[in-house]
Amino acid sequence: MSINVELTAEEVAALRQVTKLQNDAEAVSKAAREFLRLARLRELKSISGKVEFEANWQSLEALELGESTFPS
Amino acid sequence: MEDWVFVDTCIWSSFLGKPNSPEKLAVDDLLEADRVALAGPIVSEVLLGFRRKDQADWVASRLRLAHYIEPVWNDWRAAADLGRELAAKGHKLPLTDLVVASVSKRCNAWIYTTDPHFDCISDLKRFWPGK
Repeated sequence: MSINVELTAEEVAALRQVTKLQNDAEAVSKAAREFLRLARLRELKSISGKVEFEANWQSLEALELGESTFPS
Repeated sequence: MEDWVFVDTCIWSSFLGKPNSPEKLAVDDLLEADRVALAGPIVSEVLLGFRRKDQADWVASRLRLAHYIEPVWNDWRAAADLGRELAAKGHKLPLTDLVVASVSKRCNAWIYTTDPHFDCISDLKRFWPGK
């Protein structure tokens, strides 16, 4: 999908500098994708305590090692 | 990569289950700074902790957006060498920990863990929040 966006020359230059890309369109695309990636990644912060999570990593490791108890 | 922090399963466990824990606050900061790194064994261990597939799928879709390092041939070899070396000293470590340690060493990245197994490995860059 192709869209038109209004940005100042300074903003486009800054995007090229930050993304290390010479092409304006590629720089804007990369910046937008990176913004989305970080926004989605940071959504993890809101789920703490709201999911059904069983802390079973210790028993999994103990199972692998054939131990009856986890080392302290 | 040197600023990245491999967040181990034990930390994700506290992050997901204890909203007021210091681990939750520390991972929040790492997410904000885009420093969270993952390797396959951590992803599997974390997702195994979910009873509900819809919740596991949602978390997986978000974890996929963190920095992800695939273990390569030399990481598996290094994990074996490390495991052998530690076993000779009387320390038996799970393969998942050995691989994560090897990958973090290769990347010269930090590792954030409270798993006592990692205390046996001397030359790791351990991440301690606030230090």
